[in-house]
Amino acid sequence: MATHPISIDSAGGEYMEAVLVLAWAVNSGDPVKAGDLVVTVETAKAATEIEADRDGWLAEIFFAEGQEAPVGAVLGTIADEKPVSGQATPVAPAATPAASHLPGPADAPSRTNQPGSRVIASPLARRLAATAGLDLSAISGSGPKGRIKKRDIDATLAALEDGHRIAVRPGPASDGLRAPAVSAPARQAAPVVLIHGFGADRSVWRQVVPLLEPGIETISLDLPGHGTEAARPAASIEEIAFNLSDRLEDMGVEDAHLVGHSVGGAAALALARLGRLAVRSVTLLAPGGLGPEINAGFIAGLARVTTVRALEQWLTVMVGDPSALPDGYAQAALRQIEKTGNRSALAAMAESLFPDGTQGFDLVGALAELAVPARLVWGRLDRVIPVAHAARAPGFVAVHLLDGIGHVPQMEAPALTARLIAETVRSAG
Amino acid sequence: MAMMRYAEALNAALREEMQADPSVFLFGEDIGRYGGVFKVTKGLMEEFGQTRVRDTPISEQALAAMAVTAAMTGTRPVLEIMYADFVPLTLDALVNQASIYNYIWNGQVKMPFVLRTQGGGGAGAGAQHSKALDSMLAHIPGIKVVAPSTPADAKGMLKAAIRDDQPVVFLEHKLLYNTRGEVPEGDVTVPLGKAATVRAGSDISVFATSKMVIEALKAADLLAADGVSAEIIDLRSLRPLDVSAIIASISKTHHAVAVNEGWRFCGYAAELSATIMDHAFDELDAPVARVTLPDMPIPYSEPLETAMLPSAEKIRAAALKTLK
Repeated sequence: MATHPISIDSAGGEYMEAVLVLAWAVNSGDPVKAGDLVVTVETAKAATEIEADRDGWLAEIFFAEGQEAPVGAVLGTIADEKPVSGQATPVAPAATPAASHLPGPADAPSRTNQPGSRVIASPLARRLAATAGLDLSAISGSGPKGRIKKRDIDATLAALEDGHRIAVRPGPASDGLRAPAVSAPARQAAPVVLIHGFGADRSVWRQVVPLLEPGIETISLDLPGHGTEAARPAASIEEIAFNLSDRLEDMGVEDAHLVGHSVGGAAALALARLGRLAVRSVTLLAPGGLGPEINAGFIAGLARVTTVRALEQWLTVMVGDPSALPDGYAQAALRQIEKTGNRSALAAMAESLFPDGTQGFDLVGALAELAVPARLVWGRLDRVIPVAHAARAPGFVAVHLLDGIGHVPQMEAPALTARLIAETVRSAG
Repeated sequence: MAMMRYAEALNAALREEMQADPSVFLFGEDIGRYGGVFKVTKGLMEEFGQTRVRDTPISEQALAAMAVTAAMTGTRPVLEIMYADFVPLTLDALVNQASIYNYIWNGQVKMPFVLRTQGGGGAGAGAQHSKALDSMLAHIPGIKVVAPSTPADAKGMLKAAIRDDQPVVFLEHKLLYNTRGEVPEGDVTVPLGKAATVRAGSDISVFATSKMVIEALKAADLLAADGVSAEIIDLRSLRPLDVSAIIASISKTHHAVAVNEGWRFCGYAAELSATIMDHAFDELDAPVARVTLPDMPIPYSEPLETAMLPSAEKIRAAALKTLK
């Protein structure tokens, strides 16, 4: 039975991360016609009605009324045929929150971990459980002394998948903004994964993404300690790479084109070096990791600002021409920092990533080892990371030095940046 | 490619480097007229003369000091210490001179010498001629320590070691000298500090050097019969260590066995285990297992020696326990 996702991509304000599901207009199993109201969600500005994009039957509901769904999440599905109860894709009752499908104590086959007692689990199992939002105390371990291993997490997830197909897993690790939202197995081409820089979040790509050619699918990820991942900072570039790799794996992304800006560029190289993801091409915008120097004052300032005035001052350091920044950018960015409350996480990350005002990681080797098309884009007026680092790129990397541009080509020259990303992607075939 | 024994590959490396660079010279006990007790330097005194291939008295401490001063004054000496068991006699030169002169003279001094030696058990050579002391040597910053397992790596890494401007301790194994393998023709070097995946696998990673790579490969065959796919990483170089290769393998298999022929306490397997935890703790699905020599002298008696030495069967048992 073919099903089609119901999703909300970009409704609401530019800095929205989640929508609240207000009301489903139809019950699962009910027929719908293209244009019918299916679900009403609350965005930052208003209630938004989502209509069916085709005729069919409402099949699954993944976010019940009253639940928050990340922007880009699949809220439910429309089936081509009338779902029959007992079929392979069971219909979730509308009133049941998706979270209840995660195993609770009652679901556990045999409890080895008593309430309050310490859960024995391997580091990998702990990490996988945290990513999937599973409660370890509800899982019985099959390892020595009842230790929970990866296979136990896999078995639990497989059991959940059997009982209920989860398109976007709710839980502490939210997936990145994905446009267009598709369920993982349907993926045709390798997506472009966009990784932002220090102190920013995935919205930094919102000017570039619409300028990319149609057919290029993008996934913008928040770095650990940033945006929706504010609560989970990372202490090293390797930890960032592991985190991104895990999240991409969860999204079913096996191969991708990487685009990284600043620290995100270093993260892209570390991700490529990690070797778990098949990397098709790499586009780096003023990346970290190609030399020791970095504007420590800027990093510290960005991590500490509390007023719009102060942030505006730092943002002028960031760009070649401050008037290139959209109106109200500083205000919106500050609101975002305040909303997610990631200032202490940012300061801690700055401390561990840039000890003594030095880039604490060297990825020249990782860049040299790339066997795929690679492009380096750098503004000649960059005052955060010296453009001279571009000279460390090996001969196979295309280097573009942009006149009049500072540290953020994706905001200062979005059209050119989009063109260069698209050309890199195309050159990978 | 030519089929060669490990000892012949080393001999070829020494000959080629001596032909290419007149500043390369050899010295050690019985390496000239006798050709070395393991025949690694056979024929070299005849070809290059007694100035460039020197027989010396039994005085390891003096030999090491000689290597340091000869290297400082512009030559590239290659010193052979007949048994690794006698390397402790050279430690003052390594710990207090070779490893730190570049630092205390602010980079004005280069130290391009190679200390070749062989260690390891399995030959019934007793407690004073069977030890693998690589952990002790790898502990010293400023010195490279390498231990190739194949004739091709033996040749390529010895050539790279002779050309290196840092002191390199080159560890051979008495039971590897007669092993045979394909060796590329011509001037081919193998970089120091790069591991090699000698067998790809998906369930567990086994990290080893020198003869323990041979044991690990045998263990992989045994494990395959158990239905376990073991990945064997020949570290080749103990210091510098190829941490990226270790992380990449652990990220795939999530299980690890660290093998080292030396003692367990404060040993190289412990260092590997700590390195894995430093860089890939969250990738581990079980504690890292160590397969090492027990902390005891090596017996002369063959059955007792066999019972003590790390082996394919012990690696297999450790792997199966880790995967439980």
